[in-house]
Amino acid sequence: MTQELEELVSLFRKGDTRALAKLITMCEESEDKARRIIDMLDVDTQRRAHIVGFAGAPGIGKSTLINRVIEEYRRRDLGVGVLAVDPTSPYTGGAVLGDRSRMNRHSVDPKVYIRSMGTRGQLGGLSRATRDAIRLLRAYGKDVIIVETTGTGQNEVDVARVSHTVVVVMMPNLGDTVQFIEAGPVEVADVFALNKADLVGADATMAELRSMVQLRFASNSWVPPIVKTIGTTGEGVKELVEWIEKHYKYLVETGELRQRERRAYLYEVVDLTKHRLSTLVDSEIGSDSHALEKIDFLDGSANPYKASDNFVKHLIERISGHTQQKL
Amino acid sequence: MSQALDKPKQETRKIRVLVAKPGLDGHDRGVKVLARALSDAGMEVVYTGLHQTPSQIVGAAIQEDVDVIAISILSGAHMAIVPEVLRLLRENNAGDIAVLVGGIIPDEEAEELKKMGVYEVKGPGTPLSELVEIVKRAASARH
Ligand SMILES: Nc1nc2c(ncn2[C@@H]2O[C@H](COP(=O)(O)OP(=O)(O)OP(=O)(O)O)[C@@H](O)[C@H]2O)c(=O)[nH]1
Ligand SMILES: [Mg+2]
Repeated sequence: MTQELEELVSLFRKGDTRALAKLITMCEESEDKARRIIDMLDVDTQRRAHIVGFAGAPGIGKSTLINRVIEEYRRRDLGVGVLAVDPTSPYTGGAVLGDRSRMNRHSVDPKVYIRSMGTRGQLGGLSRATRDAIRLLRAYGKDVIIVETTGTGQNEVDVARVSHTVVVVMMPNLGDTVQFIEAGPVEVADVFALNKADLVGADATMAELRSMVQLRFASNSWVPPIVKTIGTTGEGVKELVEWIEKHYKYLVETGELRQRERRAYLYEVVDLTKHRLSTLVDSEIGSDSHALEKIDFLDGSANPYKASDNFVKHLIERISGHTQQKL
Repeated sequence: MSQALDKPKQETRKIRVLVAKPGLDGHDRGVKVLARALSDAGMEVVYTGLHQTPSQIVGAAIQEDVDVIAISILSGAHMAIVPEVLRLLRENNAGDIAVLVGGIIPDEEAEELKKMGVYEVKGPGTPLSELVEIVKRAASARH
């Protein structure tokens, strides 16, 4: 395993796409492997990349739009990485990852790398390995890293925690636009794309969005622009990319870039810790029902709060090394 | 630190499959049904869309690090497309990715494709459950 890893890392350093792809797979497979890869690469200190998150309701046109955004960045001769995250079924563990079908024409461009990922049991819009994949893409030398997540609400917040710039994609007549906006955490938006601008009602939705932005972002030093786009034809995409780049410049000039990165890093530590603790709980219980029974034996009073207190105490002893004994 | 946090969980190797439909034939209902069946069996299925060229298929397969490529061709272009996919895989050091082909393919051509390195060839009437088993087998032969 270690030798295989060393070989992969050395190929990765030479720019080998397969090695990049395999390293991402290993990060997805286990936290343990991810840790070893990140140790070996020491990647955070190296290169810079602009991380751009795309969020928005299912079917709103994110992947189609990203396909055009890639095109625009390639015109500027920038290298692009895309991580397209789709939900994993909690029942089967499987996933149909369909985002790529909107952008697969870029598969033959050596300066574009697209990777589809399932959320794999992680709540929200990203998988645990998404951040490792971002690091790998940055170390690989990508200038721009695009992260697509589907759905609104918590997923938007999740993607905001890993991105420098968040593009929230909207479309005309999405039910009652205002209500929709009220429901979603639009505060995370740095740029709005009003996609499907070819559909009727685009102007009315634009007006609604404008007044919402005036209301909600009035006191901010960066007021998110609203850009009309048509993903299917590419109209408006040049302007969208210009705004995304302007936002990056704004972050650099105001020093907010560092703050955002710091915050992203701290959230990662929090998430990783939560993930490890929850894994620990699962591994203590194991898969057989006998072990599950033991949790209650800790107390026996059939009071779930007390039993849980005891379980937590037991876990703390395990972590601190006071006991090697499982339940 | 203690053992407890160091060794979290045994590793999960998930089968990843690329489902591709090259050539000019029109609709993708069949491959979407296959994609659903494979995902119901716990796999991650990357769907690449219609009209993909061999180099797009191979590029996608490498970037996605899939174990298996399932190609559906009904247009009769299999003898042009499949050998090219195999050649590009080898050229890119990815000859270990298993290739399955589905379509209306005469027996002698199916044999020829298998000799070239295709893992399995199946006709349009093949039950989904059988296809799922073949993909599983092809993936485990790889690891
Ligand atoms: N009319 C019109 N249709 C569009 C536009 N952009 C995308 N579409 C269509 O919208 C549908 C969904 O597009 P996707 O790009 O898959 O949407 P998505 O937001 O990525 O979807 P999920 O990943 O499933 O959340 C497709 O049929 C696209 O062709 C647009 O600007 N105008
Ligand atoms: Mg999409």
